Amino acid sequence: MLEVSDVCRSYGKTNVLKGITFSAGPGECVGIVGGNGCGKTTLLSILAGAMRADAGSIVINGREAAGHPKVFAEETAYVPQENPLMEELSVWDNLLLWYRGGKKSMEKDLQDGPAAMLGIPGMLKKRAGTLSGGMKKRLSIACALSGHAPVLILDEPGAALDLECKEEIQKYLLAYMAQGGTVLLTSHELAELALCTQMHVLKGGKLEKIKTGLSARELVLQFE
Amino acid sequence: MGARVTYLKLELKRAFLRLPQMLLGAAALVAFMGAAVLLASGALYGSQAAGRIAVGVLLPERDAVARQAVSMISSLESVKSLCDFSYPERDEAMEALEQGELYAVLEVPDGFVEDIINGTNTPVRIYFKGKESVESQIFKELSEAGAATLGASQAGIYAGDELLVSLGISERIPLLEEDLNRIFLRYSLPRMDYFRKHVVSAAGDVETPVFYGISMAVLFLLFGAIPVSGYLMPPERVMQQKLSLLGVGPVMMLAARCIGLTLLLFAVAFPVCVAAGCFGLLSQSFLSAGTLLFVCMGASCFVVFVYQAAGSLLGGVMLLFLAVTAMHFGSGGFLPLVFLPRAFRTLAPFLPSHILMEGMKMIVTESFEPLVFGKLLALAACGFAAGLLAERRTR
Repeated sequence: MLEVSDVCRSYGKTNVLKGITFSAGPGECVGIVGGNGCGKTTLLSILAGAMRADAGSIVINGREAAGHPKVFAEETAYVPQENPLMEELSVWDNLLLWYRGGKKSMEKDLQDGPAAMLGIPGMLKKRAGTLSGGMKKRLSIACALSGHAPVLILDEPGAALDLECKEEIQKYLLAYMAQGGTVLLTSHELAELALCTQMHVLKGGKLEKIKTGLSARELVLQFE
Repeated sequence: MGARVTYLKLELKRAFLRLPQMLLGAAALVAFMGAAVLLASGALYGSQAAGRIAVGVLLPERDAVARQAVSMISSLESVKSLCDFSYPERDEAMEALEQGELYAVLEVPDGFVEDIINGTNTPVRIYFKGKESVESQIFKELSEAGAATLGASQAGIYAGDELLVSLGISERIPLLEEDLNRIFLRYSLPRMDYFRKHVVSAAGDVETPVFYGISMAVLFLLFGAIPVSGYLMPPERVMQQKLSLLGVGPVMMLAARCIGLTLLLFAVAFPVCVAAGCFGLLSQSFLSAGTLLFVCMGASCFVVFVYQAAGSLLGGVMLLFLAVTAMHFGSGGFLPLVFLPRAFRTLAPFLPSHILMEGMKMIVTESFEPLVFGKLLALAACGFAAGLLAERRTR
């Protein structure tokens, strides 16, 4: 269970987030939409613990996470928009860096876990820098999911991916939700937003709940 | 803890994957520096800027004392290194001067040495070619410097003589001159001996080629980082955020890059030092190797700070190049400090380049000073702290 209340963040004199409040239960997928530069990435970074909020509370499965990096590390898996990979090193090395839970657990995941489902075993020896955008994204998701965290936060997961890869990632997200995981994502793609059980639009630093299943035109109208 | 160790291991692996780049860059740098040194020395000491100065000397016939005096002057180190003296006949000498085979002709008058002793001071006539060459100019300067030195010595003797005359004890002049000669020799001979036993040059207590070797080695270390610029850039923002979730903070990220570059520089410099040792140019000892590691560490922390402060790859390369060039000049790496204004001499001991040169000098001269080790450590610590400040500023 993710409970976010009154989260605020400003850059200098600009208030990007003005009291964000929402909650999401197990098996739910929360979609956050909004125009470019409205603060979606900032909000996700705060919810993943990668950035600090100026004020507010973030409770994950009954544990206060704000100000407690360990709670974020244990309860959330974060896939940022760009891929945080050491491009000169191999896929195996990158897994070693990001994997939480030891080498044995990593090897098991490569056999039948999220890493196997995302097709990572086939590219273990390749240099991360030589992978395509889609492969990098898969690797990035596999690295993030290594801790089997109950909350998965994805910042535009389908950007720059081919159709096949997008479909595989969507399949994986459905399976993740079916196992009781909570997904939080931002996207500009209707197919990805179709997975969402609740939708919010972020504008003027405030989060407003909107209907799910809106068309592209209807969504754009919500941004204004 | 585990994540930090893994991160450090992977950063070092990332650094060593750049070793071929570093070696190629080092080879190119050595070739470039070697060419620059060869061209510069060719221009300075070859026959392009100034050749040896051929001088004809016309001596009075049967004047053995004058011949001996000129022979003594021509054997002086400062004269011998620049001039070739010959003793042709007058017509022969003038013709050679006209044809440009001689740059100057010295005509020593009759009774030249006696006149010096008795104070008459008959001048030596010097003939130059109408259009003066660089060599003629140099010889003119050399002659004027010699005349000034001789004049100063004579002035000392004449002042003593005049004093005795004014005191009415002119009969003691021979005794005074004898005493002056004895006292002068007592001071001048040990001084000559000192210069034979000790290296005294503008470059300090090492010979000029060694000084420039040290200077080039430091430049090599600092510029040697340029081929691995990509490694020295701070991680992308998203990478930093993700690493911070693992407990890897800015201190660890900066430390990993400093350690990585230190080991890379050491991996290149150490074999060079071993090779120099095999040729007898350097001694091989654990202390020397340890000192080299300290020098590499100081250089690395400074370089990492420069890249952190620049914030971009191209900016880092440019800033490193400009900062190192300016700093090396200010440290007396291009032109020894004695030739630079006093302000440079005051500032130099605090410049990284100067401290690194002191470290390198310890390896070459094998005189290890705890103070210099302390300075190298302080340089590394300051570079690291400045890097952290720059990181905080750009965060």
